[in-house]
Amino acid sequence: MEDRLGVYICSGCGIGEAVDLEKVEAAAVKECGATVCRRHETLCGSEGTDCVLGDIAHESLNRVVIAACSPRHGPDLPVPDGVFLERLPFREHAAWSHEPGHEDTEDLAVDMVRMAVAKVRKTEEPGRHPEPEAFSKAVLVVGGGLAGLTAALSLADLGTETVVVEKEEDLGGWGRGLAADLPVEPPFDEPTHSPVPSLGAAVERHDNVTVHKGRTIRSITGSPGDFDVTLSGGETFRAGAIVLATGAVPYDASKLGALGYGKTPDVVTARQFEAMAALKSYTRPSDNGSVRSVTFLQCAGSRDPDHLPYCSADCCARSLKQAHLFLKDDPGATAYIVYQDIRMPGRLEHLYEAVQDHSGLFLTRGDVAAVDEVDRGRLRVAVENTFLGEAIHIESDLVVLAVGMVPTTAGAEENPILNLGYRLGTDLPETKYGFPDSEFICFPYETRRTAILAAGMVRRPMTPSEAIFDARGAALKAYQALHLIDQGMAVHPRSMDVSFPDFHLSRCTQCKRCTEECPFGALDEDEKGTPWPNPTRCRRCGICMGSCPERIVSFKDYSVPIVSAMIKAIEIPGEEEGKPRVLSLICENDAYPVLDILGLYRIRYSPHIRFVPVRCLGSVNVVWINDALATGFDGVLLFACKHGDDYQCHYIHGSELAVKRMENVSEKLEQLVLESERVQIHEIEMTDYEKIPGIIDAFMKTLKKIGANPFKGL
Amino acid sequence: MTEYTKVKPDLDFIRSIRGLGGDSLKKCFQCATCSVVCKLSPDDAPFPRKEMFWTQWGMSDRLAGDCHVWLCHHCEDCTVHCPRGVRPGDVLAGIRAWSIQYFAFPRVLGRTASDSRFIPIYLAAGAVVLWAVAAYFGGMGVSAEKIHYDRFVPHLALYLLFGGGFGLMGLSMVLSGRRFWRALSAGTPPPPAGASTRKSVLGAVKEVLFHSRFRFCVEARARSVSHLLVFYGFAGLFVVTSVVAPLAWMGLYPLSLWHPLKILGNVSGVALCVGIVWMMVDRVRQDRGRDSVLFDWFFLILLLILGATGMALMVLRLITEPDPVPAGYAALAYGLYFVHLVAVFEVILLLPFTKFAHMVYRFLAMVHAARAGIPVGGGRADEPPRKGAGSS
Repeated sequence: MEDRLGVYICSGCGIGEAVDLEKVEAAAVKECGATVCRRHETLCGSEGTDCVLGDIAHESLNRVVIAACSPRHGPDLPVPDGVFLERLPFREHAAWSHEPGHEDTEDLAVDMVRMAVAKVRKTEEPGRHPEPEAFSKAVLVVGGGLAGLTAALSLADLGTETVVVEKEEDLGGWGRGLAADLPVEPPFDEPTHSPVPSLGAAVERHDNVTVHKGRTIRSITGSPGDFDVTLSGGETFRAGAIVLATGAVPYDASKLGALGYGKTPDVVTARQFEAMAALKSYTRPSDNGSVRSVTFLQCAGSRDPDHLPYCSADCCARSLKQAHLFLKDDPGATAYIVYQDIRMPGRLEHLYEAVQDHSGLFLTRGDVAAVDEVDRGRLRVAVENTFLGEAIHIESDLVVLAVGMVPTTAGAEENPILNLGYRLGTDLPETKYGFPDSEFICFPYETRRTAILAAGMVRRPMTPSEAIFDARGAALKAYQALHLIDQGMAVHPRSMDVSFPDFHLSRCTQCKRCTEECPFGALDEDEKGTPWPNPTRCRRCGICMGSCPERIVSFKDYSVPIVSAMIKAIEIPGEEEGKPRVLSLICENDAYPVLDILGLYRIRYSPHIRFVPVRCLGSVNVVWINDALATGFDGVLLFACKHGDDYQCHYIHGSELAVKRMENVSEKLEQLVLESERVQIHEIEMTDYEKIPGIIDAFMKTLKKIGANPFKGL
Repeated sequence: MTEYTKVKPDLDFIRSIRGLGGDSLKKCFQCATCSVVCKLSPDDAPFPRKEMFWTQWGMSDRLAGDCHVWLCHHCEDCTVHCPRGVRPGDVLAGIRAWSIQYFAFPRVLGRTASDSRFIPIYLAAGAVVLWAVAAYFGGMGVSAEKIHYDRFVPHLALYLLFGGGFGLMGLSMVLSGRRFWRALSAGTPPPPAGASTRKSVLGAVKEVLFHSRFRFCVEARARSVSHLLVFYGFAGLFVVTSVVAPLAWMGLYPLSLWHPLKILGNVSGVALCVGIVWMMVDRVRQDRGRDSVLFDWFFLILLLILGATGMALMVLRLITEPDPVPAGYAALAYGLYFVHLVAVFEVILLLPFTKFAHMVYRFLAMVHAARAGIPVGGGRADEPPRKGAGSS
């Protein structure tokens, strides 16, 4: 079909004053061959969008470029299938970031239109890939505690077939058999009955739920939408998505000898004390003597670099709850709590305030120096750095350690939970401290495995009310995953993206780079090493595309030729003009919005830089760098996102891989007798926007020092 | 080697303070906002954060000997700014009430003097004793034509009774004060060489006379004025009574309305009544009814009865002076007179056991602090007292 191109330029928000739009229009029509080119004052308004959509219908446009505000700010246009639309951030990246009316700003604007036109002209209809097939619409919920039961009930209520697998013989998890649990509803000022018994009953009653108790998972093979699950009892079933709600287990108290554990049986864990509270029978394990005073030691193992470096979130609230039960059962008794800080997430502060009111409850911050047995079997806790300003000795009948919590995924190497059939391992990859989350700010529930969501204490330390919210969130994400997969769409972060990488296998050299570098296990191999895609595991990041030396991987709307065409569309001024050109490949998830922020703050930077957004720096194929330098660009600047333990990369290893690949590039540059400084990669995060102009300035200075690209004009 | 203090919370003490207006004390989470906002708190030994902790942990021994408890004027700055809704001002007032009861000699009177179960007994006892003494000295004569207070209760009987009572209670006050002084000294190192007791006493007297520290209060700055009114009213009446009593015996009474002593007495009486009513309105208006306790109210009510009946008696006398007494006035006058005498007697009797005693304790604490070189605070040089500081 013939290309019919429409270019729409918005003159609002100061764009019209900053850029000579007539020049842009002329370039669009004469140079780019636009069939229709219009200017509008408010393209974002309904009049503007109606104008574009009307032209698409009446003028049979199938390639549309909108030069207005950033796609992060402007409206999504419901264009019909077969029409490729590109929105240019004219406002943020040109008008607001550069000197109004300057010829450099105009050159930039025209180049931006050229790049966008090159892109839409090369884009092809992605088609639905994989083709929809009979995907499973069931969700497997692993773990029958508070989070698991809540998730199962939420899903079942949405009409989703749900299977709960619980390792114990009873549902309920830790909440089972408690005298009282932390409140999960307003006013949050009193311990209440745990919601798990009623939740468990509701789940077992529900028509949409199947419960397997006393079962673990023997294996899970397949991919999202089509997992084949086999349980320890031999039961098998299919599931489309998985909610992992296996919770956390207490840290091994035997490692807490410094707090007296193991020295005497009267130093007990919070779980042991919970059992006493359930029976209202507080006795010393050593001699069955009655307990009239208790000392609770907080952060037992938590917030301790030698044990668990993090805060376990609910121990302060649980100790206060236990002290409350103890003092309520015996009003003449005394309870002490020694803490680092009392931390009451959410509205549990109300519980703290209420429990604190007991005359017999004594709280102080402090560092525990020793726990010893003194006369008549009483325990003496030596505490330093107290609010008294002195070191104190507290004597009590019992010492309770508020032991920190460890996510069940932390031990998954020895005790596998999911037993997945992924080349990357049987369970979810552990991130910092053994938690399975992947990107806690933007995607809290999503793990590093598509359509496997984590909820509750396994994901991060939390309180029961937070676990309930968490489970509902993860349930909705699982539901979303089922339905997007069913429509052949990406689940996240490129939700609803219908593109999928095509492999031109006849040119494949079986080098296995793509299969090994895919962070999501989307590419297995056959015996020869040819990639064997698991389409529903794919997140459309394009890391495979960046990895392939033969350039056989491409998306219909994002490929090596498309980006190369964009690069080549940029006009390179001759050396005599003294205007350098820099190509900048930017991550669409972090660097792109950072540039938008620069625009919003009207922060200026060099107008000689041309940005090309990429899905992930990991998808950058080094041939683009070659293209750029061969075309005469003086330098290439790459903006990746942060990687490392506190990474932000949406595709986990993308920016890390990019950094590694660029090391190889600089070697190549030296072989070509080009200065390696001409290609630089920087990692930036959202909050780094102020650093960008500095980085660009420094790069420009470097280029000035080393001079123009000798290949320019060749 | 680290020195450890063995803690053993005194639960009864905690409950006492909670009952004496400090019910919120357990909710303190030691953020120290109170010590920061307090204008009276010295920078290098701030209060009341540490006092709050001692109270929460039932450390009565430390509080008994802590002069800072008495350097607090209950401004409420801490209470207004407390993020936790705790009322440290009321807690410290509770500790002061507890201290008066704790150090009182004999202690049983300290414990019972502000107890609602015992107050009627003490009032009744005072009335009975007064009646009996008056009767013994041949009084209780009631004349309907002319009001003769002297025939109703002979002045001699009053001097002996009130003088004797005052002596006894003064002794009790001295013994109680000595206990307190010992507790103060026990908790602090001996005063540095060159510490001048005379200077310390003079300083304390100056503070009592001018309330200069008191006026650093932000929230309750006006209370320093009502307190001054009550203080000077009471002092003036005390002086006038002490001087006039012998004159009356010598038959030189009543004095003319324009006699300087008479003027001083009237001004003092008005000041006392105005000051007391002001304080009462303050207490009710500032929603302190909840935590304002009998210990304080009993004291205020007793003083108000004392002042109001005194003024009323004079008015009654002036109305009835020239002519025969109108019918009904006599009964009213004798009744009021008796109530007035009982109030005076109770004030004298309960002096060391009720809030009255605070003048002695606070004075001793100020002297002690000055002598021992304990910083007392009071505003900051660079930061004048603010007016209408925002409440949170």
